[in-house]
Amino acid sequence: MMKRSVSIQGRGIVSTRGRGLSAQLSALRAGLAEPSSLSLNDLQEPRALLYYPVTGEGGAQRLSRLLEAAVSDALDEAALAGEDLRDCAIFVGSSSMDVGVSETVFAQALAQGDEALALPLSGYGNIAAQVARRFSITGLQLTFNTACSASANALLYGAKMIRAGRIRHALVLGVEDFNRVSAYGFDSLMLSSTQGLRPFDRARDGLVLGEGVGAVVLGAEVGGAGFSLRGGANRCDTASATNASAEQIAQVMAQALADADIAASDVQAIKAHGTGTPSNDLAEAQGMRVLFSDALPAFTSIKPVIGHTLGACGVLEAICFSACLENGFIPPTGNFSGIDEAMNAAPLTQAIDARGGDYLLNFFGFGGNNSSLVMRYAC
Amino acid sequence: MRAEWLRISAFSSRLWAADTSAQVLGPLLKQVCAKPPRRVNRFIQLALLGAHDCAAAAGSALAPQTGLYLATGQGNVADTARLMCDIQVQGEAPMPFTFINVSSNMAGFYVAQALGLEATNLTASQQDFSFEAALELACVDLAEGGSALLGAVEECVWPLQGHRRRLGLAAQAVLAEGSHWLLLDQADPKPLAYIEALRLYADERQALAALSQQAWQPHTFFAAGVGLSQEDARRCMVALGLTQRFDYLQDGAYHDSLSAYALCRFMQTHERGRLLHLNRGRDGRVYAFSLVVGEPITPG
Repeated sequence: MMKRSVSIQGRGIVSTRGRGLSAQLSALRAGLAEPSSLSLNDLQEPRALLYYPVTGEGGAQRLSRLLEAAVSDALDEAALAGEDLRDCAIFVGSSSMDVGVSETVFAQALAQGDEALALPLSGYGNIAAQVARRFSITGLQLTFNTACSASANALLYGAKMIRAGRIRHALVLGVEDFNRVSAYGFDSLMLSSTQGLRPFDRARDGLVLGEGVGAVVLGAEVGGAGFSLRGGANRCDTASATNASAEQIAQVMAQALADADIAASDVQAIKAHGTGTPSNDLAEAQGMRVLFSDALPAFTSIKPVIGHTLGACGVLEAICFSACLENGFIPPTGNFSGIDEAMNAAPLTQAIDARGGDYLLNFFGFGGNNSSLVMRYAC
Repeated sequence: MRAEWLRISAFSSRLWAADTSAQVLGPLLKQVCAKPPRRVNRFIQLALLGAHDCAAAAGSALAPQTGLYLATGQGNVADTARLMCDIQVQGEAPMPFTFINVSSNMAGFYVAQALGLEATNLTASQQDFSFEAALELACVDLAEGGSALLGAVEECVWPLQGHRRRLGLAAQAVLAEGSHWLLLDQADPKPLAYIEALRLYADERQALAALSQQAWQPHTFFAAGVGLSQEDARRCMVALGLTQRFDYLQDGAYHDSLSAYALCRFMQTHERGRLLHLNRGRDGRVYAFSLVVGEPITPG
């Protein structure tokens, strides 16, 4: 029996490119946007890091405003209201949750000489609960904390629960708000790029973090044009907590294709995870070669446009990629200057025409958490 | 279709009321784990302790395709708070391993590595209902069979007074740490117990209206989660016609995800029997699940 499919019925996004799908398009078509240089003065020695920020005012209410914008836009596009909205389930994927808000509150308390408590807002369920309160939603609230695959897993399980008949609609959020713990943390791992994101390039030297909020409304497929989630998979690679392996990446992609009941030859293109770190890009390229052999489809990375938004990248990049497809193109990967011979594969360097069909989306996180999704575009 | 009857093949439960200083976990871990991983934090140690206990209770190696679902309300709260202090007060950069380990799914990674699990590995949460969140995910994946290792893990931060403040608890509140695990195996012909149903309701009125339609057997015990007062519990029992209470909160020790402890504690203390567990979140939503121990169930 063929599985029920799940359609994407609404999308909202706030990224470094601005609010809304159209704000992302010109940079996506070029495959590149310049990051900002962020001056951080918390440590004994100042640090300057490349970053893809969402511009606008700061403060403890900043994350709330980003959530409001992305969720409102997604709900409007889906026309989700009344009982359907009330009963909708919320799925949140994030690496750092509201740690950035906690940092702001902590800094204010330190400055005022109050009895300051580090991490004053603990608990992983706060963002989902906040969105539920704001939009009067009383359904499930599931928050995923699986590092950079978090919101991809949120999409995967939102779709699974709709397929299982457990829920009718899912509001799936990818959330990443600037915070010092993540910025300094990745820097301490020496994973921060000094020259900009160059996924799959022979001269790649690391990642550039970004922030943003993406929101997707999923519902049972109604047919017609648009996007649907056909399947996906999540697996744990226990060989290394921080470095993905080619074999495990090939396995999670194969499992996703099997779940979607499609063959490797059906894949039109791959939205790679493509972080720009030397080891993970190599593993991903080799993993794609293991699965697709000489018939490797076109592949690309969204990260040179919006940065690596960590746990939010599942939803943010799915939205960006879908926006490209419905505007007729598969985006290129910016900053690519030459093939790394060890991987023997090059991403798209020019936008190419998109057509209807199945697309594979990869997301990999610390803790060996690997996820792949199959998205179908019917045009 | 959704699996309505989850078969519990093995379980384990550790709960410590938090003392003035943290109990050292390293020696305990060495008792259950041949080669404990180095450079892991307390949250990971707690997860490993409980997961090894559960695997030992199962009596045989877990299938590599066993999914892992780790519930936590607070996650790596101690290391995250420490990093925040290091950066914003001391002006010190995070140490690499400390930073890597604050991602809460690192606990799931180390458990999967120790037990040879290659399949789904999720760390999930829900305000006031984290254990139920993981249970929801396992239900979906077990609909067509298979097995799952389901854990609920919570740690404390010392000094405890600050942690009570962080959790919004009274200054006298007794805090606890816990690691509670279930092995669910839908192919087990003789499970220890069944989780009979899992339901979320918008509020208590809806919950009681729906649950009172069921004919609860007279020997069913009622357990109230931390979100229900004694008066709330009495009201629910009257509405449902239940007369026996299973009060697993008697010692008053609190951590998030305590409903996992309720379930394990009932299995520890009852060879046969039924349990209905109800809890209410701060937003008024009510979660119910029921457990059947030592009695055959024919899914209907």
